[in-house]
Amino acid sequence: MKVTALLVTHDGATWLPGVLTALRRSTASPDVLVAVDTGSVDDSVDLVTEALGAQLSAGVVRTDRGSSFGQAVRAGLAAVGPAEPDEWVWLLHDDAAAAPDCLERLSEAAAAAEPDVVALGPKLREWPSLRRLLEVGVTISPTGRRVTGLEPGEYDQGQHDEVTDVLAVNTAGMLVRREALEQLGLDDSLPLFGNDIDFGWRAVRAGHRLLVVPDAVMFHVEAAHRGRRSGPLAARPRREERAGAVYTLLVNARARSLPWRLVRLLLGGLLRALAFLLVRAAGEARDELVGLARVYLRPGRVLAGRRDRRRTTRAPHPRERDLLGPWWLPYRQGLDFLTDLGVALGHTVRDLLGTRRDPERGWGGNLLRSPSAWAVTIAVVLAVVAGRQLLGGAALRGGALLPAPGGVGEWWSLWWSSWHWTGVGSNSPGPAYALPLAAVATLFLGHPGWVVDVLFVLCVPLSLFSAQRFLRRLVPGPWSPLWGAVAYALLPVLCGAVGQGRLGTVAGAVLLPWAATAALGLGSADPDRRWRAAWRTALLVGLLAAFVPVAWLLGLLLVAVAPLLGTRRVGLGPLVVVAVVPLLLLAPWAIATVSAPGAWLVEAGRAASVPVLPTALDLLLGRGTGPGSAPVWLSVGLPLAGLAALLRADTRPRVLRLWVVAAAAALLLVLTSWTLVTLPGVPFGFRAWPGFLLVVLQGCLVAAAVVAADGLLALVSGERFGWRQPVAAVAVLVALASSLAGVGWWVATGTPGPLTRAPHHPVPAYMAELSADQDSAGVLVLRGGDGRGVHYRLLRDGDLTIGDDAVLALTPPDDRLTALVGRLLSTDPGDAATRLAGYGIDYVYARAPARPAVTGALDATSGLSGASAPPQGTRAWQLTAHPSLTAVHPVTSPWHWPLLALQLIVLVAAIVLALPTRRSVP
Amino acid sequence: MTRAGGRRSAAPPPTGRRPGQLRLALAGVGVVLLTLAALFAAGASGRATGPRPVPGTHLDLGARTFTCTGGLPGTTASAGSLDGGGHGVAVEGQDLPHPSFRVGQPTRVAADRAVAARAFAVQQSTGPRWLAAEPCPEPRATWWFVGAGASDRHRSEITVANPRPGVAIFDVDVLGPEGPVRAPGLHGLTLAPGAHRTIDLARMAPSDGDVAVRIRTSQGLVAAAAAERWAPGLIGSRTRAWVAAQPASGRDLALLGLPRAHQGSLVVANPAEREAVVKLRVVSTSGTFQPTRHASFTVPAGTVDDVDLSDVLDAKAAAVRLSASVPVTATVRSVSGAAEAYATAAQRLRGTSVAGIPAAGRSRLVLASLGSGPARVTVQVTGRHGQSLHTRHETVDAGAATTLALPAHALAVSVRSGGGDVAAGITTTSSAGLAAVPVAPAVTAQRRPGVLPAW
Repeated sequence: MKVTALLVTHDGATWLPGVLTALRRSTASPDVLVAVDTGSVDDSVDLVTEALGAQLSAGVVRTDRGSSFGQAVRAGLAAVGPAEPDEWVWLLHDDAAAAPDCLERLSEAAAAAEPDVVALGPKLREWPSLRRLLEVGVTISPTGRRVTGLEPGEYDQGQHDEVTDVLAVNTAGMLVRREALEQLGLDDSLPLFGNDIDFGWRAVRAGHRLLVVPDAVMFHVEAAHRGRRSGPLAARPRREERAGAVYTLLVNARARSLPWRLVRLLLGGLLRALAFLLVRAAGEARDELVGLARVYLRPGRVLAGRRDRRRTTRAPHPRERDLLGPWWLPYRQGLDFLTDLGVALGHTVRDLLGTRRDPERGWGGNLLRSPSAWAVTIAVVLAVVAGRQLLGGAALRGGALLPAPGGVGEWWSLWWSSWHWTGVGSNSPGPAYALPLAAVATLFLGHPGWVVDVLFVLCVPLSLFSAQRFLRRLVPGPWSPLWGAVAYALLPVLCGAVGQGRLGTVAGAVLLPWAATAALGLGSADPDRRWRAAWRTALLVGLLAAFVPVAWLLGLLLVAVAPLLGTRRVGLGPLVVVAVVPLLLLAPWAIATVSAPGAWLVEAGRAASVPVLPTALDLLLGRGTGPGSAPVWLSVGLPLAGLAALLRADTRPRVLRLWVVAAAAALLLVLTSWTLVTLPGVPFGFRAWPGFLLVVLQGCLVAAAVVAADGLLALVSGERFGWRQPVAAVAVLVALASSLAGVGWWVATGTPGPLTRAPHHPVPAYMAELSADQDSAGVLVLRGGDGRGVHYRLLRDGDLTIGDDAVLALTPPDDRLTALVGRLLSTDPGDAATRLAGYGIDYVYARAPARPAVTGALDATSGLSGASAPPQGTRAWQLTAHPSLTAVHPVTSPWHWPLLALQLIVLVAAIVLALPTRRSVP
Repeated sequence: MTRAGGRRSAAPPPTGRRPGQLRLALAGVGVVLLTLAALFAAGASGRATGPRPVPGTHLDLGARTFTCTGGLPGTTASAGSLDGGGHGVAVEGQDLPHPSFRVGQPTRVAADRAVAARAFAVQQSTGPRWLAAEPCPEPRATWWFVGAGASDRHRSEITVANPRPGVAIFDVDVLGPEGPVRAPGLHGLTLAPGAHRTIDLARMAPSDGDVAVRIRTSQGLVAAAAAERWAPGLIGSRTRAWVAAQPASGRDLALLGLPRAHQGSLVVANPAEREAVVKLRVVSTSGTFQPTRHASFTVPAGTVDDVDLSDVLDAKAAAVRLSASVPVTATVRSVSGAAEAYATAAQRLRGTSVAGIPAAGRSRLVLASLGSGPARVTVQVTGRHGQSLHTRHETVDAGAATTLALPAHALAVSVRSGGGDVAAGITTTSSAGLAAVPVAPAVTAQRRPGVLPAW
């Protein structure tokens, strides 16, 4: 038996001294020693020459720097002359050191091996840890993953010390029959990575066997795999490994499984890339896709490889299936990946929630001792008591709130559809809040109504929870944030937003503290945290603006005055992200508002449904006025507390920043108050509801008071008695009394205002059912006729639901239909009824009280026949003409889909970039 | 000194930081003032919100369709327009060759958009013992015929036509002296487009005495006229007439069309559910007076009542005004020998109103001022060839009436209101009988309510 040791070096000066030393200490010496250098630019050649110069049979063979491992091996073998019978080649890497007895053990095993064994591999352990196992033979999974069968970081305790058949062994330390090596060869299409598995697989398919000999040990740096090797072939190891694995699978797979593998690898690659993106591993995602593309875009290379393998294959080989990775392995790997991802996300969420836990107390103990938990629990109980009128019945509606749709699909459709059969029909994009509502409703098992119920009934505890989270970031003490959270949580109730069904303000009040908390991170000294805070803030401002568009304007204003807020070190980039990304997140809707800029002042909910006209005092005390608002005197404590907060010198800079935000909100209030909002679909100008800005303003006063109140007792008790103590005492007492009075009013009055669960039937049930089945069976609903005009609405699927109003608001009225309805109600209707059928109208319904001006005209109109209208005071007619949609011509915007794609891309990117950075583990 | 020292010990502000604290304090005051100023500015906007009333509009008049129903022997009709004679007016789709034409069965007269505002159509029937005339009706939703008969001696046949496209569905209700008359076969009647139907009240809703008939559509509009045969004596049908079609019931009625007659009776129908207390006044050429008899009377709910006005209506009487506690409808039947005529509840004239003049006998235009001030009108009479026969400007004293003799061979008369509340009617007398034709307010535009999408 002749052993030729073949060492391949490439810029391995770092590890070569150890490798060469190990070679010198080997208990068995190779018969021939040959070294091949592939264009090293370091001292590799000198080191090898110096250490082995005399033993090298042909000196150091040199090849090009871009030579593949296979080319280097062929060059080395060529230098030592033709093969001899029973000649074995011991392949060595410049980053793998052999244990002293490695060659001896391998030689013994080779000598004892049966003739069909063509290669033996040592057990690979990590260098320099020396104890951790890297490989004891290797195989490949159906998705191209390198499978070692070892746990990550598994220590070698002799648990794998059996000589076993394997699909492949690493070329580092591989003892291979020269004849087989030259016959099968190493594929030059796999220059550095994956050639071992490919060689082994081909050997198995040629009827040979490969053994792993655990008694023989090599210590391997895996320099190329870990990105520590220079040179053109190792520049992007992940990409090269992926390309090599995919190539190996495609050229060696059986022909009948090739189509399935092609599809599976492609889809799997895309999924993995997406998963990498989700954990902010953009580089790995790119490597995954590029590696895949490099193989898929060169099918000729794959076909050539398959032709080449047919030359040596003796299929079917009985052992091939056993040696390959099991079919379920990718799924287990995927599950592991998802588990890791879930754990990482859990840590992130816990980090976001800022849970302060004492590990010794346990989860329950922490909860019982947490004032925050008790506050939220009590708030939930009180919310249920206060919402007693809203706990059962039909869908929640009234005031600015339309009922929630029957299924979550309607919200998804509202978001992505380019054409809505709302009213006559509209190509206006759905409201920006349709996406978050649809997502949350999907989590609520597809019940949109539950989302609305939770938002309105549990508005106070939800706001309290989020405010507490924010305020505890501002100050260390527990009690002033607790008061502040209670005072803040009452704002949407006291200002009338809950009672009036103001979805935007209610959602905004819940989300605002989250956005503010994220914005606090902009001041972080760590640039990575700062950037992540910027993306998180942008996401939350985008979410906020989806419900309350004016929030983006406020964000823009705050970015403009960022220097006043002490954010000098934030840098321009994060501020630009905060300013621009929310706009992109609202993309389809935002573009549609170019022709209706007033929409930026209107929040989610039916605009102008509850007219309000607050005075300056109302605004100062946080009242939007209208039904459901609390008496103004209840909130007199908040402005006083906010003003008193400025008196404390040591917290004044921080309090002043909060006042700057309050001033920005007040300036926007001026804008909203003096702007007569006009929207294409709203037939009159109106004043926007100021609720959200009032919540911001009052919230800033609360936060200012919280900052100043923290540690106040200790501070004033340490001072000599003066005017500060009484002022502080009065401010604290008034603030506490205000909050207590607010809680009392909230619980005592329940939910006053138009918000209700009373059943509402805009059209008779049979019409609603008919129209729900087909778009062309709409109902023209008329009301009025008492001299103030007749108002019409075309309903195609029962009542309007949340979101429909936003589409209608941006949709210019169909003047032809308006004229047609006018004609229908005129003294000379002509063929108006027949033409009405072209709009997909089956019924005309006059709501109670049906006025004679309407009923008389419709009774006299040809083409209408009386229909059943059960509710008293209503009248109904059915069109005698068959309804169709010939008068409606759906024209969708060519920009809809690109903008939707942009929104999605920005959303995914923002989420990924807002997540904690993933440490890349090779 | 002591207090100052105390401050220093509690929060010692280094000398160099004092300006910074001062700046902060000033900035705080500035921000607070800015916030308060903004809030006051916002609260002072006073912007109105909410929907505004949407006024209705009037559009150009479309085409008009008259239906000359016939129903009396030898019925002829005259039609045309003051804007172009017979131009733009068609009878059953054919151009109008001559202003007068025979009416065998209900005949549609269409005036196109260009001439519709000043178009007219009147039908008349002349026999040895009667002279009857009435405007050819235009389709509407509600019709009242007061003073009709539903017995063999006083028999009315109502012709209902549907001249419009689309099916018309209507109900016929009959009120008699004793209350509503049972007429189960007269509800839910259907008329196809262009169809007509004649209802013999004596067969369908027999009743003694004067009855009031209400036709009300639940779908579509119809044109209706009531032709009657009436025998004042004991034997045979001796005279014929069209019972005047009344507009919708009301609390304040002015009945015009009182030809000089020997007898006059007021027929009042009370369709309401409460008893009507009716006050009577007479408008004459010398003013309005309240008669000593029948100054006030009651009509039970759902009934028809007669009041003899023979001794109230003299030669000067031009109109009867009724003020009722509930909406009523009424007519005055004038009888002179065997001839009779029905007065119509007149409506206040606006703009220029046009009426066709019966071709027989002597016609007079009666103008009655219904307001508190004098009424000014311009009367223009048009001949059969479209020529203007004369034009007169008249002033009618408040509460008084005046009559103008219309020339023979006059085809139509137009009355243009120049101010004040005025109503007009035409009375015609001949040796054969009496007739009264109302001058209805001009229809110059179609009314369209303010319509806008709901929000």
